[in-house]
Amino acid sequence: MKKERLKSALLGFLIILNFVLGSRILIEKKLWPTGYNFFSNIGNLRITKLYENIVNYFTDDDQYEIQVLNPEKILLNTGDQTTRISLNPNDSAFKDITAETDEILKMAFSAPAEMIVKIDKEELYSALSVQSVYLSYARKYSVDLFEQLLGADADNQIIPEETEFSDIVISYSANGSRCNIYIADFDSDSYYRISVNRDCEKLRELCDERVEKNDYNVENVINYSFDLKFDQPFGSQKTTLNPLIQVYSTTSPMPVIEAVNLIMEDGENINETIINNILQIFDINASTMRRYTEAGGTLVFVENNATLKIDRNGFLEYTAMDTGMELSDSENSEYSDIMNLTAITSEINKALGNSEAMYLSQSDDINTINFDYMVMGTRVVIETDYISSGVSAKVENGRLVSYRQLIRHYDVKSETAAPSEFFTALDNAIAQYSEFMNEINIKKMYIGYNDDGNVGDKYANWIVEVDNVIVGE
Amino acid sequence: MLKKLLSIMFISVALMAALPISGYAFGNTISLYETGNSTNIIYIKRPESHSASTSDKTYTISAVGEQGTKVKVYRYNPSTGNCGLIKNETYIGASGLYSVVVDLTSDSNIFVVTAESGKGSQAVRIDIDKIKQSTIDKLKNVTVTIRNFLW
Repeated sequence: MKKERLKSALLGFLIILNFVLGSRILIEKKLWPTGYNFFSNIGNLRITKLYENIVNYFTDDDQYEIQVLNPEKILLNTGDQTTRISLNPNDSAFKDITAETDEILKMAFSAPAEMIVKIDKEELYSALSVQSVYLSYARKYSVDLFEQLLGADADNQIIPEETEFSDIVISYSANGSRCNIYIADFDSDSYYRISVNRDCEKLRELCDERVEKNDYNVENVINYSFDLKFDQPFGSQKTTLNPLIQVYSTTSPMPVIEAVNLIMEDGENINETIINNILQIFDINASTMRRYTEAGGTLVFVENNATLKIDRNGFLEYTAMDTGMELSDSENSEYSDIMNLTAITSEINKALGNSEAMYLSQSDDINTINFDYMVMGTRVVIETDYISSGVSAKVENGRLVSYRQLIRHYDVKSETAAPSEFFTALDNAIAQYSEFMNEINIKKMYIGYNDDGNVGDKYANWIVEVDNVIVGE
Repeated sequence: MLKKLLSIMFISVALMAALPISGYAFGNTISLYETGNSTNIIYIKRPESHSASTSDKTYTISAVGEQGTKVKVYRYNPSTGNCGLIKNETYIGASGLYSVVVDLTSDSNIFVVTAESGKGSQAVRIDIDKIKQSTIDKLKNVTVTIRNFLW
């Protein structure tokens, strides 16, 4: 009798386990082609979403999130150059300050038309010379995209649609009772001020708190290029710097990082588990695809509609044969493309177990979406012959046409090295052009890690982006 | 004897002739009234009028000049009546841009920026006055009041 009960209990346990594991495979692993059969509809059920939310809560999927709206740098302007400080996303105060600035921006971008005024450049500079927060974004946003990412209700917006910006300043009064938001589009020389009826006391407190914590060094001063008038040519001056480039009087040592290729197992063999996970993300059916290895060890997976290549250096390339992989059947906009691609890249990073921070970065055309790696709050600038971003994807009409990623993880080492001084880096960069140039304008200058595509140690150094070179006779 | 005299004269003439080309090197101390022998070696961008007032602890002087120009910064010391070297020589690079941060240790600070190149030498006096933050706040209030009045 006792044995029978034990058998029944064991059978019952196995049946329950069957359902639990079966549902996990169906729901989590997504073994169906998108839009194909009834299993895909399970994924859209409210109960499934609830289940996913519960699982996500315990597995901490946030670590694979890609930042689409975070500034890459914040400058806290105090009114003095000596006490002005620069924060990167690794700073302890960064998250709280951006959470507050996002709320303020949400209100600003939903502000009625009468609160928005076109201003001149000098007013923007004045705002940067008093107590204010300068938000420097890694890419330019259109007004529409920025509003959508913020979740702002922008019916009353009068900022022209074609405005694109990567620089925002929020200034607040000494007691934090008023705040103004400045939007700068340097390309079209258009600047806007939005006044919001919101108490900026909390932002002021957060900034004051962070500024007080800072260790001052009178030798370590940050000036904007416009402070030093380097943005204005004079006489025989050949070089101009864009007005908001920060000129640092000294540089601090930064950790050395090591680029690791996650595709290789023990540095010898390609990790097959990772490959299988990636194939699923691109809807490539492992049972019907054709697989072969190219000379050099690149794995190639061919299906009717797409080819996926993964080389031994960690370069992944998906190319659609026809119209591409459908990303969304409901919406077709830059916003939805970015969000859908964010999900794909997060899935790939999750499959790799790679929690390296990534952010939405600048791309050359509207159909290309780029993400880049960020280590300890510092950009990794990828410069190879085959890719110049961590991820570069092409989306046309809501369909993924190509997806390329240099799969990397960066280990932070205990060793540090100081980047060269600002003017040394600038002079070295310009020296490459000085033989034939007449005038040169520097678009951006910032400290980043340069990754040439090879694994191994990477050192932080100045990245100089040249905007315009006028060649002399 | 005549040979020696001629040699000395020759050397003296050669040195005199070379002076405008090489300039004369500014030492560790210079006079506040030093001007050099040229006016177009370096152009001070900040402060544009060669004088400024600030409540900050430091001031950043910026300038432009030709590549290879040697720049030094001196601070006037009222007790000695001379200017002592505070920033050693820096050579302007390919960008042609130069900036230096100086401490504002007293209410009235006088600096001399010197520049030397193959074209000659130049010394520029820069006066930076330190004012209290409260004075700046008062001035800002006055500005706001006038603005409000005008509008």
